[in-house]
Amino acid sequence: MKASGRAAAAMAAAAIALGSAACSTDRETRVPQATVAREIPDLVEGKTTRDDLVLRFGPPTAEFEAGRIFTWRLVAGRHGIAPALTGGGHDFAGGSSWRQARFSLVAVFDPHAVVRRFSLVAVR
Amino acid sequence: MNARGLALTAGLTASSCIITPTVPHTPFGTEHRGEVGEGDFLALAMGSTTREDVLLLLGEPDLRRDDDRIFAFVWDEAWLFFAAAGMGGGGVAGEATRHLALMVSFDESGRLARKEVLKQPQTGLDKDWYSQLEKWR
Repeated sequence: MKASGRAAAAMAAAAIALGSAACSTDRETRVPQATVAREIPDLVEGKTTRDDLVLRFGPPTAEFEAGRIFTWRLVAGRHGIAPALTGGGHDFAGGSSWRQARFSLVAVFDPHAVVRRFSLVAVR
Repeated sequence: MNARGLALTAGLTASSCIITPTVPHTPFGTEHRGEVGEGDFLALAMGSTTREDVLLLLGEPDLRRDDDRIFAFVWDEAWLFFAAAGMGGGGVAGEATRHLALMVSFDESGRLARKEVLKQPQTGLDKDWYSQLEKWR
Protein backbone atom coordinates (compact mmCIF):
# COMPACT_ATOMS: atom_id res chain seq x y z
CA MET A 1 0.00 0.00 0.00
CA LYS A 2 1.33 3.41 -0.90
CA ALA A 3 1.99 5.96 1.81
CA SER A 4 -0.94 8.08 0.70
CA GLY A 5 -3.16 4.98 0.77
CA ARG A 6 -2.13 4.20 4.34
CA ALA A 7 -2.88 7.75 5.37
CA ALA A 8 -6.30 7.60 3.74
CA ALA A 9 -7.03 4.31 5.53
CA ALA A 10 -5.97 5.85 8.82
CA MET A 11 -8.26 8.79 8.22
CA ALA A 12 -11.17 6.48 7.41
CA ALA A 13 -10.53 4.51 10.61
CA ALA A 14 -10.40 7.71 12.63
CA ALA A 15 -13.67 8.87 11.10
CA ILE A 16 -15.35 5.57 12.00
CA ALA A 17 -14.00 5.72 15.55
CA LEU A 18 -15.19 9.28 15.87
CA GLY A 19 -18.62 8.33 14.64
CA SER A 20 -18.84 5.64 17.30
CA ALA A 21 -17.76 8.05 20.01
CA ALA A 22 -20.42 10.46 18.91
CA CYS A 23 -23.18 7.96 19.59
CA SER A 24 -23.09 8.51 23.34
CA THR A 25 -26.27 8.93 25.33
CA ASP A 26 -27.14 11.07 28.33
CA ARG A 27 -24.58 9.85 30.84
CA GLU A 28 -25.33 9.01 34.45
CA THR A 29 -23.49 11.50 36.63
CA ARG A 30 -24.44 10.55 40.17
CA VAL A 31 -22.53 7.57 41.45
CA PRO A 32 -24.98 5.05 42.99
CA GLN A 33 -25.07 5.12 46.78
CA ALA A 34 -24.15 1.44 46.95
CA THR A 35 -20.93 2.17 45.04
CA VAL A 36 -20.15 5.12 47.29
CA ALA A 37 -20.74 2.97 50.35
CA ARG A 38 -18.25 0.45 49.00
CA GLU A 39 -15.62 3.00 47.97
CA ILE A 40 -15.99 5.40 50.91
CA PRO A 41 -17.40 3.23 53.72
CA ASP A 42 -16.65 5.81 56.39
CA LEU A 43 -19.01 8.35 54.79
CA VAL A 44 -22.38 7.94 56.51
CA GLU A 45 -25.26 10.41 56.72
CA GLY A 46 -26.02 11.42 60.31
CA LYS A 47 -22.69 10.11 61.56
CA THR A 48 -19.65 11.35 59.64
CA THR A 49 -18.50 14.82 60.66
CA ARG A 50 -16.90 17.68 58.77
CA ASP A 51 -13.65 17.02 60.61
CA ASP A 52 -13.74 13.36 59.59
CA LEU A 53 -13.93 14.35 55.94
CA VAL A 54 -11.19 16.96 56.21
CA LEU A 55 -8.96 14.37 57.85
CA ARG A 56 -9.75 11.91 55.07
CA PHE A 57 -9.63 14.18 52.02
CA GLY A 58 -7.84 17.31 53.19
CA PRO A 59 -9.17 20.87 52.88
CA PRO A 60 -12.18 21.14 50.55
CA THR A 61 -11.65 22.56 47.09
CA ALA A 62 -14.68 24.78 47.60
CA GLU A 63 -17.01 25.91 50.39
CA PHE A 64 -20.57 27.22 50.05
CA GLU A 65 -23.11 28.92 52.31
CA ALA A 66 -20.66 29.76 55.09
CA GLY A 67 -19.21 26.27 55.30
CA ARG A 68 -22.54 24.44 55.31
CA ILE A 69 -21.55 22.71 52.07
CA PHE A 70 -18.08 21.43 51.19
CA THR A 71 -16.86 19.97 47.90
CA TRP A 72 -13.75 17.96 47.08
CA ARG A 73 -12.27 16.99 43.71
CA LEU A 74 -11.38 13.32 43.77
CA VAL A 75 -9.84 10.60 41.66
CA ALA A 76 -10.28 6.84 41.66
CA GLY A 77 -6.75 5.59 42.15
CA ARG A 78 -5.09 2.29 42.84
CA HIS A 79 -5.92 2.64 46.53
CA GLY A 80 -9.50 3.80 46.07
CA ILE A 81 -11.04 7.26 46.08
CA ALA A 82 -8.46 9.93 46.88
CA PRO A 83 -8.05 13.71 46.63
CA ALA A 84 -7.07 15.00 43.21
CA LEU A 85 -4.10 17.21 42.53
CA THR A 86 -5.88 20.35 41.42
CA GLY A 87 -4.27 23.22 39.65
CA GLY A 88 -6.91 25.72 40.66
CA GLY A 89 -7.98 28.82 38.82
CA HIS A 90 -10.00 29.15 35.66
CA ASP A 91 -8.97 29.00 32.06
CA PHE A 92 -9.96 31.48 29.41
CA ALA A 93 -13.14 29.57 28.67
CA GLY A 94 -14.38 30.12 32.22
CA GLY A 95 -14.05 26.46 33.05
CA SER A 96 -11.79 25.10 35.73
CA SER A 97 -9.51 22.23 34.83
CA TRP A 98 -10.77 18.78 35.73
CA ARG A 99 -7.77 17.13 34.12
CA GLN A 100 -6.63 15.73 37.46
CA ALA A 101 -10.08 14.85 38.81
CA ARG A 102 -12.90 12.49 37.97
CA PHE A 103 -15.37 13.05 40.79
CA SER A 104 -16.84 15.87 42.81
CA LEU A 105 -17.82 14.91 46.34
CA VAL A 106 -20.48 17.21 47.78
CA ALA A 107 -21.25 17.07 51.50
CA VAL A 108 -23.99 19.07 53.23
CA PHE A 109 -23.63 19.46 57.00
CA ASP A 110 -26.19 20.03 59.73
CA PRO A 111 -25.69 22.72 62.40
CA HIS A 112 -23.59 20.26 64.39
CA ALA A 113 -21.20 19.73 61.45
CA VAL A 114 -22.48 16.21 60.81
CA VAL A 115 -23.12 15.07 57.24
CA ARG A 116 -26.82 15.48 56.46
CA ARG A 117 -26.71 14.74 52.71
CA PHE A 118 -23.95 13.91 50.25
CA SER A 119 -23.40 12.86 46.66
CA LEU A 120 -20.50 11.71 44.55
CA VAL A 121 -20.81 13.17 41.06
CA ALA A 122 -18.92 11.65 38.12
CA VAL A 123 -17.86 14.91 36.51
CA ARG A 124 -15.92 13.29 33.64
CA MET B 1 -13.19 27.15 17.97
CA ASN B 2 -10.04 26.95 20.03
CA ALA B 3 -6.55 27.96 18.95
CA ARG B 4 -5.52 24.38 18.26
CA GLY B 5 -8.49 23.92 15.99
CA LEU B 6 -7.75 27.10 14.10
CA ALA B 7 -4.10 26.18 13.68
CA LEU B 8 -4.91 22.73 12.40
CA THR B 9 -7.58 24.07 10.10
CA ALA B 10 -5.07 26.52 8.69
CA GLY B 11 -2.69 23.63 8.17
CA LEU B 12 -5.07 21.71 5.95
CA THR B 13 -3.33 22.50 2.73
CA ALA B 14 -2.55 18.98 1.57
CA SER B 15 -4.43 17.56 -1.38
CA SER B 16 -5.86 14.57 0.56
CA CYS B 17 -8.07 15.74 3.37
CA ILE B 18 -11.37 15.12 5.16
CA ILE B 19 -13.44 17.85 6.74
CA THR B 20 -16.77 16.68 8.07
CA PRO B 21 -19.29 17.80 10.67
CA THR B 22 -19.88 15.25 13.41
CA VAL B 23 -22.61 14.55 15.89
CA PRO B 24 -21.67 16.86 18.79
CA HIS B 25 -19.66 14.96 21.39
CA THR B 26 -17.14 15.50 24.17
CA PRO B 27 -13.77 16.10 22.49
CA PHE B 28 -10.83 13.87 23.18
CA GLY B 29 -8.44 15.29 25.74
CA THR B 30 -10.71 18.04 27.07
CA GLU B 31 -9.76 19.48 30.45
CA HIS B 32 -13.32 20.43 31.26
CA ARG B 33 -16.13 18.44 32.77
CA GLY B 34 -18.33 16.15 30.74
CA GLU B 35 -21.55 17.40 29.22
CA VAL B 36 -24.39 18.38 31.51
CA GLY B 37 -27.10 16.17 30.06
CA GLU B 38 -30.65 17.09 29.22
CA GLY B 39 -31.93 14.92 32.06
CA ASP B 40 -30.00 16.94 34.62
CA PHE B 41 -31.10 20.19 32.99
CA LEU B 42 -34.75 19.16 33.17
CA ALA B 43 -34.33 18.09 36.80
CA LEU B 44 -33.64 21.70 37.77
CA ALA B 45 -37.03 23.13 38.74
CA MET B 46 -37.54 26.86 38.88
CA GLY B 47 -38.59 28.13 42.28
CA SER B 48 -38.04 24.86 44.10
CA THR B 49 -34.56 23.49 43.35
CA THR B 50 -32.11 24.94 45.85
CA ARG B 51 -28.45 25.79 45.60
CA GLU B 52 -27.78 22.70 47.70
CA ASP B 53 -29.77 20.55 45.26
CA VAL B 54 -27.81 21.91 42.29
CA LEU B 55 -24.50 21.13 43.96
CA LEU B 56 -25.60 17.63 44.91
CA LEU B 57 -26.73 17.01 41.32
CA LEU B 58 -23.88 18.55 39.35
CA GLY B 59 -20.96 18.83 41.77
CA GLU B 60 -18.64 21.77 42.18
CA PRO B 61 -19.34 24.55 39.65
CA ASP B 62 -16.64 25.88 37.37
CA LEU B 63 -17.45 29.51 37.90
CA ARG B 64 -19.03 31.28 40.90
CA ARG B 65 -20.27 34.84 40.65
CA ASP B 66 -22.10 37.50 42.63
CA ASP B 67 -21.68 35.82 46.03
CA ASP B 68 -22.83 32.46 44.67
CA ARG B 69 -26.00 33.90 43.19
CA ILE B 70 -24.74 32.56 39.85
CA PHE B 71 -23.00 29.30 38.99
CA ALA B 72 -21.58 28.16 35.64
CA PHE B 73 -20.86 24.56 34.66
CA VAL B 74 -18.63 24.59 31.59
CA TRP B 75 -17.89 21.85 29.09
CA ASP B 76 -16.60 21.46 25.54
CA GLU B 77 -18.19 20.01 22.44
CA ALA B 78 -16.53 18.83 19.23
CA TRP B 79 -18.56 19.60 16.12
CA LEU B 80 -16.17 19.12 13.20
CA PHE B 81 -13.61 16.45 12.36
CA PHE B 82 -10.75 17.06 10.00
CA ALA B 83 -7.77 15.10 8.80
CA ALA B 84 -5.17 15.60 6.11
CA ALA B 85 -2.52 13.37 4.62
CA GLY B 86 0.87 14.85 3.96
CA MET B 87 3.03 14.21 0.95
CA GLY B 88 5.38 11.90 2.89
CA GLY B 89 2.67 9.64 4.27
CA GLY B 90 2.23 11.47 7.55
CA GLY B 91 -0.74 13.62 8.39
CA VAL B 92 -2.71 15.59 10.92
CA ALA B 93 -6.14 15.03 12.39
CA GLY B 94 -8.18 16.90 14.93
CA GLU B 95 -11.50 18.26 16.02
CA ALA B 96 -12.92 21.75 16.06
CA THR B 97 -14.47 22.45 19.42
CA ARG B 98 -16.59 25.04 21.15
CA HIS B 99 -17.53 25.80 24.74
CA LEU B 100 -20.92 25.41 26.38
CA ALA B 101 -22.09 26.35 29.85
CA LEU B 102 -25.09 25.67 32.01
CA MET B 103 -25.78 28.95 33.77
CA VAL B 104 -27.99 28.97 36.85
CA SER B 105 -29.01 31.83 39.11
CA PHE B 106 -30.66 31.78 42.51
CA ASP B 107 -33.05 34.15 44.24
CA GLU B 108 -32.60 35.64 47.69
CA SER B 109 -33.82 32.43 49.33
CA GLY B 110 -31.33 30.31 47.38
CA ARG B 111 -33.90 28.80 45.02
CA LEU B 112 -33.42 28.46 41.30
CA ALA B 113 -34.53 31.61 39.50
CA ARG B 114 -33.13 31.04 36.00
CA LYS B 115 -31.33 28.41 33.98
CA GLU B 116 -29.91 28.57 30.48
CA VAL B 117 -27.38 26.71 28.36
CA LEU B 118 -25.03 29.15 26.64
CA LYS B 119 -23.34 27.97 23.45
CA GLN B 120 -20.28 29.54 21.98
CA PRO B 121 -20.72 30.17 18.25
CA GLN B 122 -18.81 27.56 16.30
CA THR B 123 -16.42 30.17 14.99
CA GLY B 124 -16.52 32.36 18.12
CA LEU B 125 -13.53 33.67 19.99
CA ASP B 126 -12.72 32.61 23.55
CA LYS B 127 -12.50 36.18 24.85
CA ASP B 128 -16.03 36.90 23.60
CA TRP B 129 -17.25 33.70 25.18
CA TYR B 130 -15.72 34.56 28.54
CA SER B 131 -17.27 38.01 28.34
CA GLN B 132 -20.65 36.36 27.72
CA LEU B 133 -20.24 34.29 30.89
CA GLU B 134 -19.32 37.36 32.88
CA LYS B 135 -22.30 39.38 31.66
CA TRP B 136 -24.96 36.70 32.07
CA ARG B 137 -27.72 37.63 34.48
